[in-house]
Amino acid sequence: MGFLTYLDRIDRRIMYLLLAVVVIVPLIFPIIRQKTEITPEVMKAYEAVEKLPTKDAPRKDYKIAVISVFFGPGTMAENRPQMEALVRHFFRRGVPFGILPFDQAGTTLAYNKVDQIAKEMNKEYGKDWIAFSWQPIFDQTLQAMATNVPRTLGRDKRYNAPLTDTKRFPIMEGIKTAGDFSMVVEVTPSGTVPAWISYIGQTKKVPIVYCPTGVMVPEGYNFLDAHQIVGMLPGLMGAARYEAALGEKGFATRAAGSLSTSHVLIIVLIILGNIGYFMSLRQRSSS
Amino acid sequence: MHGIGSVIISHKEIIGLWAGAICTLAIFSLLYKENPVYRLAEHVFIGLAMGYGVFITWSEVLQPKWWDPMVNKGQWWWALAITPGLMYYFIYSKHNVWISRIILGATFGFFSGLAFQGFANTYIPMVGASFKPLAPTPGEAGIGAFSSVFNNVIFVVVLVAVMGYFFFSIDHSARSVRHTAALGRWFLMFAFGAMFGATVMARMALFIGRVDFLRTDFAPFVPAWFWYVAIGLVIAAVLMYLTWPKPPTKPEEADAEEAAPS
Repeated sequence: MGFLTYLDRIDRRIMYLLLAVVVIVPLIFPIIRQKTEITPEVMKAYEAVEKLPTKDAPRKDYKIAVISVFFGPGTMAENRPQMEALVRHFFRRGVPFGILPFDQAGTTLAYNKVDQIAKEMNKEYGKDWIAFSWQPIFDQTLQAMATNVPRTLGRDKRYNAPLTDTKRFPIMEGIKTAGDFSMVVEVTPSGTVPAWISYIGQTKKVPIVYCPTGVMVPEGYNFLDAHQIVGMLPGLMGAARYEAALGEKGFATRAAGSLSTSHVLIIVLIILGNIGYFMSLRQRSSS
Repeated sequence: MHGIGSVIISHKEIIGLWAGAICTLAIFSLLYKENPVYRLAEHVFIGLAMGYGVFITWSEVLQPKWWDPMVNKGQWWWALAITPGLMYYFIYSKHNVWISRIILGATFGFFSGLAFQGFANTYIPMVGASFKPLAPTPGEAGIGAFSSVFNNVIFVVVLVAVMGYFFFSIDHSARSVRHTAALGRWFLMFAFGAMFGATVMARMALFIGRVDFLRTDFAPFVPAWFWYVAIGLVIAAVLMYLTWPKPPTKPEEADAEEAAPS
């Protein structure tokens, strides 16, 4: 009885310590080998990317994908692996794409990561991918892109050169409006995907892949069910599942074991806390 | 230059790694107790974010899109953009606050129009998608048809029940909506549970991200003695916590302890 009532007033620092142990141990010693199941929403995203036109597509079919970067350092651990998994898939298939940052710090975070992957995979800036400059306003940028992409986005990030310079940026050849986007990937910790759906997805019929943080995942299923997005990578597990679909093992796959053990601990603590609470109630009512 | 295996990094990057590791540990120190090291790290982060924001705003927006055309290309009319910008600041003047209301009103009107368009394009297709067939559609047969219909029935039941819960024109104790609203409340509880689980995943992911940084990026470039000292300090802190005699806490202190950030 004493131990059970103690569970109701257990010091939170002990719980933090336990949490640290169950997160750190599987990361250092990958003892948990769980099969990463590829869920339908992730598979749909994967299949949608598989259908995109490549850079060698005929002129009339040529389009570029856009990765909208709305994350910063605060949610980097969740959003960056999602972006990385999709970037690797784009590079592997030869899908030309641009990264479009809406977060100040995310501008550099995303650029550095894609640049690193591009060097690993021998991809050329301006030809296989491009980084647009940071855009301070979201809704208006999307609306303006619907009619003129190069004028709205202005310049690239690396050279600060105009996007109309197609000799320097052959990737931008023929890209005029948002209708020339083959796909939009929204990597975000916020509720920003409705704007993409509203201004670009619905009006220009551009498929959207949604990469939210875990907190935003439940809302995402509404968009998926209404076919407003073609696929979704739900949080870090979504990135791990996409890595499994690609046959790669990145940070998300490494983290999957720690995520599972931490969830088990939280469930156990919730059960123990409730047992302790009811035992305390009973003790108080009997005394 | 420092190297490990095939990876060579510069002194600048080494300093960056150490700064990242120290700030990470300083922020996590809050989990034990509020302390000056945590406060320092917090202020450093806020200052850095603010300074970086100002720099990016100038270098990627104001300079190329406003200053350069105005000063270097002779497009003097860009100077007129200062006027509406300055109008916002009249909000601090009691006599001339009306000037700020003009620009604020224009901004609100603009965003209201955008919001209306956004709402219509985002939610009306959802309403359309909620009309689901409750009988097998042509071409569906067998277990596939059964599972599709079963899913749709669940969808419609949940939709009606939750809508019933938010229907406040009739008292929820009335027989017509009592059970539907109660069922809707249960379904909402399930949804909140799913959100809680997803939030736990999100928070754990952030923690895992920092731990992975310490292990993968930082650890290979620090000497072994650092880890021995760090592990020794953690063990010493745990032992001290477990064995240190605790003074009796006053009721109000206990309440404050409960209300501490978790």
